[in-house]
Amino acid sequence: MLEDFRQREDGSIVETDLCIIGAGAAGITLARELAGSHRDVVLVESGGLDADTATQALYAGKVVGAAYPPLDVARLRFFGGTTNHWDGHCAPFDAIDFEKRPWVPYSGWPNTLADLQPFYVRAQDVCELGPCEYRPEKWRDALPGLIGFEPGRLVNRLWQFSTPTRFGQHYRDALGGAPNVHVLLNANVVEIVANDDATTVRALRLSSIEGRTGTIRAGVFVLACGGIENPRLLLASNRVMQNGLGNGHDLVGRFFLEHPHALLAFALPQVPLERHAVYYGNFPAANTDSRATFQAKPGLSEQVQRQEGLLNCCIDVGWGYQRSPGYLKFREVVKALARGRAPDDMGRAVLTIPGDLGGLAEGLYRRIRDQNLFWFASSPEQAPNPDSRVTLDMERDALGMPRVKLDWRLSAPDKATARRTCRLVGEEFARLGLGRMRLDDWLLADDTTWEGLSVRYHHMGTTRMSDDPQQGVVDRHCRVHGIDNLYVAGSSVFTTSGYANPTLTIVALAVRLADHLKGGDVH
Amino acid sequence: MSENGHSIPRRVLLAALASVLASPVLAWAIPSGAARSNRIRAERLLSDLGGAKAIGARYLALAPQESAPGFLAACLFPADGAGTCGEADPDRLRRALDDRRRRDFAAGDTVLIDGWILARTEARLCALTTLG
Repeated sequence: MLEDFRQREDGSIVETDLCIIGAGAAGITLARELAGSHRDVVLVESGGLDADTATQALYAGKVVGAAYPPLDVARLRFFGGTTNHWDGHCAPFDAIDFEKRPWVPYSGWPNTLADLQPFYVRAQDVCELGPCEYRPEKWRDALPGLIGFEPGRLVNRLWQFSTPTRFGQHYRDALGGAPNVHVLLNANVVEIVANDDATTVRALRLSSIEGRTGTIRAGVFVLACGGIENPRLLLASNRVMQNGLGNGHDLVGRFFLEHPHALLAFALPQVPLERHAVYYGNFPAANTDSRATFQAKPGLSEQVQRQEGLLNCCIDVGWGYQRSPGYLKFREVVKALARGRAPDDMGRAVLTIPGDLGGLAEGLYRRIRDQNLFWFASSPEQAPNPDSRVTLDMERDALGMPRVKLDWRLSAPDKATARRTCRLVGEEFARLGLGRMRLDDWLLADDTTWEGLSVRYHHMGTTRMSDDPQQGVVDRHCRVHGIDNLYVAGSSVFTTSGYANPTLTIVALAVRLADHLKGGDVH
Repeated sequence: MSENGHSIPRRVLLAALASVLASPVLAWAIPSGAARSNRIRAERLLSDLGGAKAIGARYLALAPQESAPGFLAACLFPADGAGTCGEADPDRLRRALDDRRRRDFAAGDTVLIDGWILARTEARLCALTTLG
């Protein structure tokens, strides 16, 4: 059943076995897995079936650390959550990502890749992907153009592409028709209400933007609102515990991780660029009946990570005439004008193009001469850093909730890893006669600055997983330490970020949590 | 990534890189005198001498301890050390250097010149053109 909370009586109370807060990839996967089980489930969602400005504005917050897009742009607050603008890149984490690595402080999940493997298999179906097979050697015949890198230095990593699945649209009917699932739309959770010693969650306080209030009582609660909103709700629910729920060790909101992204280098091609199209994305597997499409990326081998004390990393390989801001903006303007409309952001174009006339000229020259280049960008893992964090701001939103403040920090190992990986790729490209690479000037500086930094909207680590309550907010089953009926789903539980896009792992963990909640060992 | 006054112009570097070990073998008669003959031998392996000299000068600024023609020749032409090279087979020499260049890349024995990744063998060959 789908219900609009605003149509309920003010002060209404909903009672259920299990309540999931947030209908994004994690929340919808959980509800879908629990559909048809013996438990009654309420899936509560802040937004409706479509985006609306007032609800989206509840996501606004302050950015005080490294440059970050506005927080109400980086996420979507309606049914389906951020999968509504997901690009569909999927890859599992590597085995080494789960390890406690002595050279990576705060690393080490309580799980291994083997623990998660059966759930990755099920997550593939949820995300409408091909078989759960990411080993390049298994696809070698189907993916011509894979580069034979020097063993022990670089390896090929594979991604699969979801259509992409818009979870809200795709699973709406299934959830709406499930007899034991009740989807409550336009209902904002404004407080998680705990008992006097904060060992059990009693209820959720709800409010609509229009002021309609209500309560949900459940035996078990799962917080599934994303890597920024999960800590926000825990920190703001501070009626019993001054520092917020689950925050006895001051970990909630800390260890915020992203996948910092920037252009690192270019290379002069020595081979036809189309020969290695499998590296550019959405490449269909040949000679198979698989629906999967792929992208390959050169990745740092485990051997190099261990020997040189580096994080995990992959490099995005692309091609084009020029990637400088002036040329890209000029191209955008020309395309818009050719379609008979004004560019989306003419003001920015006016500022950007004159500031990069050299880049523009070079791009046009290369275009005229049809001289493409290889381009290389980063997707490194970030080093877990307790000072990289989400906290509450003094300012409040329309519901009276404190807004968030994001202080994202980048560390020296992040950049060192990107630099080293890129150089290895350059050496291998030269060795194999594929192209000659030049690293960008900023990358060579041994510091923490990134030129042209962008992000992937991957919000991870803020309720990290550890069996030790002093090291993590949730345990291996994603239950909040010290609270017997509160669980967290989503990328906020990631202990480390890996290089892989998080959605597949979010879904795998949600499937696993659903199995756990269906078992007999929870309330 | 734009060129600036402190960098070797990109087009020069590109041409030089493209030429490294790629030029056709011309007359191979080498004059006597070890240092001079090794320099000429290096020059004949490169088609864009101007670019190669620019790279070589930059390399020697990074590795001034290698500013000795004998040392560079010994590294590049180990078969006959730093001596004369009149008998060397140019095709074999080119293949040997190309193998060594690839081994450098595989082993990570590379240098960065203005951000460009060069095999040490390439950089030394360019450096040799500036000496003697």
